[in-house]
Amino acid sequence: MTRAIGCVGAIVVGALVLAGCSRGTDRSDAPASEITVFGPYRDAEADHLAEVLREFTARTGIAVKYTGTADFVSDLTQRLGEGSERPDVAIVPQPGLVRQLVADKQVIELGDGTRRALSENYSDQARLLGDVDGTSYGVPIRLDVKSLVWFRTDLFAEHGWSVPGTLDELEELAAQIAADPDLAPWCMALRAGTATGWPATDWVEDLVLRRQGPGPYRSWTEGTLPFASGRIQAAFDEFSSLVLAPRRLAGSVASTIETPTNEVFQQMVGETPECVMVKQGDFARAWLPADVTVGPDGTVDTFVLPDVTETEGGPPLVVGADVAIALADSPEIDALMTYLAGPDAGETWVEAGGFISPKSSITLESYPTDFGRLLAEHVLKAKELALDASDSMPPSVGTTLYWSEITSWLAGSETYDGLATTLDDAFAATRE
Amino acid sequence: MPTTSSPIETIWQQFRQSLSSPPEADAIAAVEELIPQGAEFWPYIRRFTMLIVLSAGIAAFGLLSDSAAVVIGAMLVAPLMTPITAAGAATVMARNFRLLQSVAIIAWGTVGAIAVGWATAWIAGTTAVSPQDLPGEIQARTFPGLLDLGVAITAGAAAGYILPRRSTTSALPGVGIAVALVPPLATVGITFEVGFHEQSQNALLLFATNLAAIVFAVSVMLIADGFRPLERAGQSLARRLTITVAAVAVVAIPLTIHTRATLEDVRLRRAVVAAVQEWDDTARIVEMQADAASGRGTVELLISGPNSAQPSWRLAEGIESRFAGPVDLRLLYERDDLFRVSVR
Repeated sequence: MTRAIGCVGAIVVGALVLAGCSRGTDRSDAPASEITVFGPYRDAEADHLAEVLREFTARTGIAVKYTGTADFVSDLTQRLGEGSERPDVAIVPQPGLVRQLVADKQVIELGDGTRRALSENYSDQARLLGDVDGTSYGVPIRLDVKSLVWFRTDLFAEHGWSVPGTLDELEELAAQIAADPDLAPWCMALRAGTATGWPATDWVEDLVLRRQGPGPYRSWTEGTLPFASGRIQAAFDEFSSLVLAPRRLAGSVASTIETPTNEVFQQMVGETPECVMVKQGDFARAWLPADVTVGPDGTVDTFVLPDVTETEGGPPLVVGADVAIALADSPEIDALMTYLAGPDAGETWVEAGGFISPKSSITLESYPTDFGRLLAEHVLKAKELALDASDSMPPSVGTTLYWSEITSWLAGSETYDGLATTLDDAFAATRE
Repeated sequence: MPTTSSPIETIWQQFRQSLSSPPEADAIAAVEELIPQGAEFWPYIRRFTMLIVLSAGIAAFGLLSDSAAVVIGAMLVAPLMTPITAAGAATVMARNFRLLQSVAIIAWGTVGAIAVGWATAWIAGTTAVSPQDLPGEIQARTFPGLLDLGVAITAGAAAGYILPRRSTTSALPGVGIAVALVPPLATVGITFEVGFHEQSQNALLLFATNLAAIVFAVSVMLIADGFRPLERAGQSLARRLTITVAAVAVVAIPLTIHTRATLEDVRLRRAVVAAVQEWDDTARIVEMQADAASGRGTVELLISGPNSAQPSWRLAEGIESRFAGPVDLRLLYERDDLFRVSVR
């Protein structure tokens, strides 16, 4: 009775073999000279950076492996502490950490080729974002423009308000809006876990930069102009009268502390808006509902927070900068740093959108949206680019402590003198 | 003919001999009687329809209540195997009318079973808001792979073997259980009613796989038993067989893609398990979601361990080097807290 079951068996075996064919192979061909890059970009942003790095590998044959983590600062500190797992290159979003690593002699100074590429492809302002005390250590990779004010175009048109040209005009505009019983000039949202309070620090930074100028601003970030100084306190006072005074904020100060930062536009873009303006960085574009358009003809438009007086080139910009630094010394790493400072590294990321390059060599046409082009234009035109102060201060001062102190000050549980003493003491502790 | 032959040649000659010997009259009668003809045909259709409605109803309730036993019960009641094996037999024997008749009955049963599945889900309702919420019995029928093709071909071969041998019909329910026909159709109806159309397509692919594979395997087995066209020339058989082979090949393409995706997921999961072991051998994986698509791994992990967490980037790099592709990792690490309490 044994008939041709064998031929059916052969079919089944064939099917199973087919199924088994799709097994992959383990990677064992990673070259010993692979450069390791460590940074804060994950998911789609990691893909964009990987594309930039792949082009370097295609040009030079040098393999690069990128790892991105959400806990970048603590992870990098740990890796440098352990020594054996030191990455070759780090992309650091906090200039204060770069300054600290330079002080700890962890960072390799940029080579001649990289410095030459920087001066060829960056404006002087942008190039200096990677310097520490006059020495070039970092290649700026990405910028965020923080000094933006977002506003409802229809409300401006309806009430005949116009974009203010000076800080005093902004104060007049805020007073006019506050006179409307249904509207407040500002919305603000501060809740962000351990980083709660950071949008308030951005307000103070822009006011210090405008009222005191770039020199004192830098001294403040470096700890030589203390919080206790009247020049810094003046910025806190102006923030109070312009934004926090009665009728200036939609909701109470307490409610802004409870509102998640990415929900800041909810009271502004609804059908019955409660406020007209929000001061927030360019990345807040992602927090707007998908149907909200941005631009002169859109639902929402932006202007740069004005300076004390109207000047050519526009007001100074507070920017966030991600800076690549070399943590090890080799010709391959030097080649990667030079490539990153080169004319076209990052162009693919610019073209993908949501990315502002600090390079003047990447033309405005490369940006896929009007908003992207506008931001890039602000960066290219600005007479002054100043790194975000809280990011530039030593991490033990500028991150958690400054944010929590300003939140306590806003909530009324801390006086300005108390805040100044705590932060100045923390600065002093970093010098010991 | 050579006077001596190798063992392989001997087996081949015996095989050819068995192919050329015609089947016995009783075997032919058994195959001919699968679908009653003449006055018996319409009563058969009524019985068939009744059994389709009942088996699809049982299957749908079993699927919705996630009961494997009930679903198996539905497989035993299901009458679809008969017209499908009859289609295989009609293919081999070149009985065009019988083939059309079988195909029409299969189509009628298919539509009926899907409709019953849809209606059952509509009446009974389901709380599923995403495909992950569906009962396991339903989910199991929405991701067919090459292994399902293997099951269908071997079970179809068993059906083809049993068919001409009346003494072995007690084994037929086993074939019905191995290669379920009505539960996938009920799944099509249920998932369509809930609005998970991709799952509906996949369950329909599982049914199509079973259908094509059974017709193909039954045909091959009947040919091996010596069945040949009764009315027409041999080339007609070749053409028909080509069509059944093509049908199997057509379902094999999506099945291969599905199977590759499954194997990629398995490979990623293995990479994750090995990397976690190396990362911290005291940690254990509490929950893992690992999805490999286009050579990229997306991993969500809940890990618990007695020590504080090792750096997450090191685990991600460990997975990446084993998986050999980009990896996005989301890790939630829980520190084990051991409380020991005695009350006297």
